[in-house]
Amino acid sequence: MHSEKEFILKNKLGLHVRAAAQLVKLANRFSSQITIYKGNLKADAKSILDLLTLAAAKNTTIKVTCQGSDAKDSLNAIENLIKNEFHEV
Amino acid sequence: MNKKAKSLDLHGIGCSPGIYIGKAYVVKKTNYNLPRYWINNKEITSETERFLSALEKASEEIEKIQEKLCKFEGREQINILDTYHLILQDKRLRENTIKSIKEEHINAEWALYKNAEKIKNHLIQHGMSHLKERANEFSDIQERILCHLLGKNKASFTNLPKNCIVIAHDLSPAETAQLIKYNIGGMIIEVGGTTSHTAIISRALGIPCIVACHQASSTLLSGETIIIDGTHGKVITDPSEMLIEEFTKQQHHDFELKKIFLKETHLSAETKDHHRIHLTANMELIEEIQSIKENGAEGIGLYRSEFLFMNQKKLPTENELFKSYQMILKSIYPYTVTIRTLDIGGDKVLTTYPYEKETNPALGLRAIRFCLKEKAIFKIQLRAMLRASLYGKLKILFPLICELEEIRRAKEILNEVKEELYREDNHFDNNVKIGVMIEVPSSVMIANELAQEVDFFSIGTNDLIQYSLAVDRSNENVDYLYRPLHPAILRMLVQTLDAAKKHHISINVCGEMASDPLYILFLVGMGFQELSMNALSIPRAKRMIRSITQKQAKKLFQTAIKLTTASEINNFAKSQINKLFAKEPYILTL
Repeated sequence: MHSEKEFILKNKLGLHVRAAAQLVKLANRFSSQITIYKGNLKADAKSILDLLTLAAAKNTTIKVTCQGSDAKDSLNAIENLIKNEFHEV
Repeated sequence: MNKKAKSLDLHGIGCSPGIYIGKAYVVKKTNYNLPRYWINNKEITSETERFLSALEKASEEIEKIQEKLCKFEGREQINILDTYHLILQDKRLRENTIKSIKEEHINAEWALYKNAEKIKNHLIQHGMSHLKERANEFSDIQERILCHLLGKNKASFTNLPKNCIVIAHDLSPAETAQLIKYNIGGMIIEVGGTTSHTAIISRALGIPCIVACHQASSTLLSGETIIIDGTHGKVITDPSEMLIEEFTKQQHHDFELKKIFLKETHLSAETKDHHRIHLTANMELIEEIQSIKENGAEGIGLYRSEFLFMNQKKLPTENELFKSYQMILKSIYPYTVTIRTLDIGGDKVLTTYPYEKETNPALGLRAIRFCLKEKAIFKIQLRAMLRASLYGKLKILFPLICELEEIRRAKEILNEVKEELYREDNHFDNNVKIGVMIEVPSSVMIANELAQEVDFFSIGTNDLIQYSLAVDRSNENVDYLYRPLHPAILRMLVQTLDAAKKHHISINVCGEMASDPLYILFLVGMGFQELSMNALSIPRAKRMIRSITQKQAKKLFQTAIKLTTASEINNFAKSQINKLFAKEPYILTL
């Protein structure tokens, strides 16, 4: 199964360490392969180091693709996290 | 006060007073000379397993810290630790490293290094600006893994942030010397005592320092804000704003007190009944000259010259030494500078010299023994000293003399050097005074004979106590036995002083004992007229000396010497000082 969607990062610091950490922890709960794209760059959502090298700042558009048996669920969960601005205070 | 924060505090022995609030930097034992070697096909599996097990151990280590923290809701630290965990579990680091081991046939340390550096550089080049700071954290993790791969090794101070508080299990004098090139705010050491080298150097530089602070390096995290209180030997982690404010106030208060003391630095150290005591400074680093002058020292009583030799890629040349000595002599003039010849060996080793491992370095090839064996190195230093002697007042001091032949041999070599300089038409002061360090019990016993060979004695109490009481002052298990007021030590001081008087040579005390407010009065009471100590202690010593009479001090000492145990003498000293300085209780703490 394959699902994908584009988002604009609205939280203050973009995909910084804490946000990336949240994303990795969430992604690890699913078996699907989850990839984040920023332009030509791509990163494995289960690797914090990968995510950090994307350097996705605020207002960056990213594309999330999920490939696997729980693709839809994982995309929904990630969408939630991004829309909630990574639960930043 | 915040209770939660309090329960996280760490305690140790405060050995250099003062307060500093700053970011922690935990020194992990890593190796500069990363082992790099190729492995064969058969070793790939075991090498991979070794790497994975190191990752696991590092994870466990982080978990342990995390467990401790959760109880106290150190949210900021937990977040950092979470990230650490994710990095340790990260596919990219793990898989690439294993790939390197397999495909490039290299050992785990090398493979880890290669891939970690790649990731780090990528983070620095492409990451957002605030991510660049994360490269430091990443280094910390890398070091933790490496640490588990290697076991124990040398500390590395690359990436040391400015004004941080350095935390380490132990620092060798060489490492401490390397460290102070950076601006650091404080030091916390897990082992050691108040007379360890880290303690001495931190006092010399006026940086708060705590030793014997157990588990500091495993409990504290690089990057977290902590308060170090070197006066009371306390580390406060995760401080509340209120606490930070409180300590900032205290910091200012200390500063004001110091200013009051400093105002009196131009006055002479004279007792109320007009006995003049000369207070000189101990120096390890040339950077201290400014502080030595500001604190009102009347010269340098002990310049520990080995620091110019340590941490150098090659031995300093005669000219380099000459220039340094010339500069020191010039800036201290009209006062005298006593340079102690190389005290290398023991816990201070030259990186340039191929040492054989000694089972008992304190009793091994060190100080004058080293110099008499390595005559060429010794001569270079003596030549540089003599040549510099024209630019001020110089005295030369030979360390660790334990029999007459040693001082006679040292004098012979000094004369050889003088001959050479004559022949080369190099000028020097032919009347440079020479002395021996009295720091082993045997030298005390032959003080009468030694006094006939030299112009002065200098009692190095640190080593004298260590060798007399057979106690390693940096071993936390026996540290309690290190007691300057042991009757044996007091009697040795008297015996040495008597020999010096009998032969009309001058004598001073230059160990840490001379700077401790608890001992100063006894030393004055015994009749010592010159005390050499770290520069920062001089204003306080001066104030103490100026507020008593020699007669009082003498009486105190005469009572003390009749007591039979170190504890009795210690208690007596404390009660007397508290009585004498009841109006100035800070005299003991500052």
